[in-house]
Amino acid sequence: MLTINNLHYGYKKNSSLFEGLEFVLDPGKITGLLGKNGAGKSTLLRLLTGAYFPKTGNISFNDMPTKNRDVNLLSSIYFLQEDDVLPSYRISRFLDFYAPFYPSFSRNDFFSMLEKFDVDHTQKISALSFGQKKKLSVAFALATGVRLLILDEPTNGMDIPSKSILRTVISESLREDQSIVISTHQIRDLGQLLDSIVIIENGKILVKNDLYDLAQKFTCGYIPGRSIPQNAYYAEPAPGGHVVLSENNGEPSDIDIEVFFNAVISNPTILNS
Amino acid sequence: MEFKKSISIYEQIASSIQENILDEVWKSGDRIPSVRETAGKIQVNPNTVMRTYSLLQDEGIIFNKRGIGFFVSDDAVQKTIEMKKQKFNSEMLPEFFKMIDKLHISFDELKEAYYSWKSQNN
Amino acid sequence: MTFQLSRFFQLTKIEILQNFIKSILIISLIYFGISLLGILPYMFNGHRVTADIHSSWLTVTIIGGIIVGSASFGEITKRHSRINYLNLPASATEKVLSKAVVNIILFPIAMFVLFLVVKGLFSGLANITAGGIGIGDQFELSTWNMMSVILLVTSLFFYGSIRFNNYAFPLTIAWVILFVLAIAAISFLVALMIFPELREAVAGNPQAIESMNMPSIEHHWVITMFKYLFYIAPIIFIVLSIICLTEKEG
Repeated sequence: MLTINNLHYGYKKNSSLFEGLEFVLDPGKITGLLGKNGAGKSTLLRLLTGAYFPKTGNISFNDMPTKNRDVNLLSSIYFLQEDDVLPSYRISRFLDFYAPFYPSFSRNDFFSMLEKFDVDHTQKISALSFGQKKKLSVAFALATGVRLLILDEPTNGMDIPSKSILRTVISESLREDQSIVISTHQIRDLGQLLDSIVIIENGKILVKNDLYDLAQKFTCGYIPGRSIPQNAYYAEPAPGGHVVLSENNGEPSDIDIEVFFNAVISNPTILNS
Repeated sequence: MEFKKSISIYEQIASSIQENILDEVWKSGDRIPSVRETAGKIQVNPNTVMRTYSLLQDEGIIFNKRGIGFFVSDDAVQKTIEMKKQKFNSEMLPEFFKMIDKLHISFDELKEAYYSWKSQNN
Repeated sequence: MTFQLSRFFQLTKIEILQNFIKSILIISLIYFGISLLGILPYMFNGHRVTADIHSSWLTVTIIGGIIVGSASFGEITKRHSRINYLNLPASATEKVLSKAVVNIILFPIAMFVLFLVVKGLFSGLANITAGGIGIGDQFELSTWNMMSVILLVTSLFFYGSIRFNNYAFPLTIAWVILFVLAIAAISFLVALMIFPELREAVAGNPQAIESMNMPSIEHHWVITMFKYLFYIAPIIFIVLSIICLTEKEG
């Protein structure tokens, strides 16, 4: 379980990016981290893994502060950065070098994912295209079998079929004791994989909710014509009408995360309604 | 003004399982694909699939053998038909009635259209 | 402090195969080239000369040590690879010691092996050429004393490369200059305290220095301490490196 307690952080002495962030991530769930550019998503992820140290407050995973970078802790966390840097040698050597650091690493999973992604595992990494490198990084990250997997923009640079394979691969590999955090701008790529979302804005957490609960409270739909219903919380133009976020009466529905995100950013008060 | 809600992912998964049961792709006592398999195949979160499975379990359409998986119940077809009928009666029929009223379609017209459709499709 | 041999060996393996072999090959080529250039003119002139491949060895090894030391923590120069390195599941001790073993200890050993190879090669070459060249076996006590200098210099730049994320080499040099000035100042003060002749000289009587008993200086405890400090310094730099890595942020 990942716990963030009263987190304060800023790059410079007096500037502060986060002011008193609090949240808990339960195992067995996939959480989407959303925020506008510059909201500090990548910084937050670096803090989670212990690469950055909080100014005040505490971040701990299974009761161990991540900033101590204890080996047991590090071997149960994997952080896939947005622009991962890979060496140039062969994939087999990369595996030989770095897989032994992760006790739960599965070579079978790794090779089967590379196959699904259509990446030739006998290749030199330097010979791979940008998208293929990304797929290699993602396959390695998922194969580590760590308890906390953090993926920063995993679909960046991937072609459409690869994004679809990625969704399959992630949903097949999630274990009950595993938490996955995915930070993404392209919510349409991975929205259907998420259990819950965290939206950060202006140094604070705006939303931290299960999507199931949100879908009980809100619903999205398309309304043709020019008028917007009075009871709509939010509407954005769509061809021939509007996409609207409005109240839901508790029936199962689907919530369009992108519409919800735009709604909350433009008017945070709708959450209190 | 009312608007059409998008069908929730749970309903979509449930109805695809029910289709398979009605079409007898899966018969009583058959094991249905695991949560993980289904999640991977339709590329959604496993917890979403799990929720749908629980829902169908509550309806008595499938049952869970601990550690083995989910199986199709003996009376799954009957229950599925009941469930679908209920949904049809409460959701689709009112819409349908509203439409035939609006378009002044008589019962005879309807009957004729139905039989001609049936003869073409069987 | 966490230390596990299997992880240490894994890191050492990565360090050797990923970085060390490349550096040592380049340095070998340079040394081989320099030695060849030094010997070539004598090779066919018909006179037997004793060629010197040993002082160039010292130069190459010290400069090579500075380069290898400065490049030790190449992972931390860019933020992305720095974060990957910090998040790699091994303790700071394991990470630093694996790099220290390769770049500080294995490096001079590899250089010594290289010396033997070049010596053997050129001795053979000398025998088959007309004039013949003697390759002096100058690997003497003074060379072994230089080992402490090699270790010191390499470990100093090793620390510099973890201390400074970017521009490790120039920053370490600047740091060394300050360090040397400080040591010189301290040494001078210590000398002032120990030798009354020096105090007298500073006070305005330069002749006093001439009466200093030089042979006894070499055995003075302060001098001995400094000699040992040369050997201890690498250990201090390695410990400092571990602390520095523990406290490093992405």
